[in-house]
Amino acid sequence: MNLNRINYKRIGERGYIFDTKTGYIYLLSETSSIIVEGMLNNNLEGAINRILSEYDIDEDTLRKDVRELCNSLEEICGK
Amino acid sequence: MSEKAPGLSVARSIKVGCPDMHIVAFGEPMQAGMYIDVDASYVVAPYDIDAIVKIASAKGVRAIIPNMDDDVEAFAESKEVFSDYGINLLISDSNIVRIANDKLETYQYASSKSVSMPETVRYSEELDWELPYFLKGGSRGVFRVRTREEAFVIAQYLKQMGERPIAQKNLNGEPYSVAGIAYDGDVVALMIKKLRIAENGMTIFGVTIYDKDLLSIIKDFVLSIGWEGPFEVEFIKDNNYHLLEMNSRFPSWIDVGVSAGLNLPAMLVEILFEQKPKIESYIYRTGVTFIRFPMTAISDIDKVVGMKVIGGVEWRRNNM
Repeated sequence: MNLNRINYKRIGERGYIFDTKTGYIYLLSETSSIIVEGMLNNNLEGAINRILSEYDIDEDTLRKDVRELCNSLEEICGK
Repeated sequence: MSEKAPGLSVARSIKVGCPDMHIVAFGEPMQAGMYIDVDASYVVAPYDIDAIVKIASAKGVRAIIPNMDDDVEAFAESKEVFSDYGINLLISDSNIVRIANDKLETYQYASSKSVSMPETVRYSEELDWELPYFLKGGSRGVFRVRTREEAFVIAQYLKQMGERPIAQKNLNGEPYSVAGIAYDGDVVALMIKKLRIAENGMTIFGVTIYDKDLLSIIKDFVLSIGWEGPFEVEFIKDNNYHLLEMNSRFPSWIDVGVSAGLNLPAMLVEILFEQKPKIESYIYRTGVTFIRFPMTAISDIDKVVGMKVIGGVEWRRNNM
């Protein structure tokens, strides 16, 4: 996935994505922010492990959410 | 120079990008741009090319950038006059300028090139389009009309102002705008997404973006017309880009390019002075936002009187 099209920035607990092509802004939840940071740092597994250790969420649910987030990002980056 | 037209933003951009350049404003005493970011101001009647050329020549002006649509057309018709006096312009021929300034001609041209554009016609009271739609009246602005009565009243206002109202169908989507310069067979462009638009159609809040598909559309359209000089082209996007209108000068938000790293007015000055533009890359920073707000131009009454009585003020000599 080519993430060059998006700018990501964290403000406090949450991050946001700015789509440099469309001008759209996507506010992320705390956990989505950690996932996106993991993707940008090529350490998605590290991000997943961090969420599992810090938040009350089971792994299957988390991995499903990660897949959905990746699909959304692919949709953004592919437009 | 007018507070609605881009002259202020153009002058500000040139001051930043070409700090050694002296800027001379031509306009009327009640226009804010005569008082801000300029080194001298001279009063001229609208479209008085002879007066502009005479003053410009006497004061050593070597290049001119017109910033109002009607001025661009008048200047285009007098290209040879400016050239005879050694004053550089980057401007299309007048028949090409009219493709931009006459919104009906823009629509006819776009249709002939299969460029998608909402239907655009001359307004008449019998027009029975689905509401809302837009009425346009030259420099008077763009009006979104929600009822036939509203359309009639606004059309009457535009006619009283000397305009021939144009009606354009509404298209739902996201608004974008592109400012640029076409020269030497190439186009350099700065794109924004409009985040807030005033009632009169002016963009008051926007953010810089970059879309290579949009750049391709712009290049094809602008170069196919044979355009030379500054321009703005406005779009609405649903699944595709649809052209709304073209303007024959820089837009009022052009100075956002200074912060984004693509100072188009300064680049135009370098072109006009036959210098190779220092900008080595046309890549600029996306995510730069701007908000337009009313400014106050402060001066002395003797400067205003000076303009009215003598016809001009040289700010630098007066240490302004």
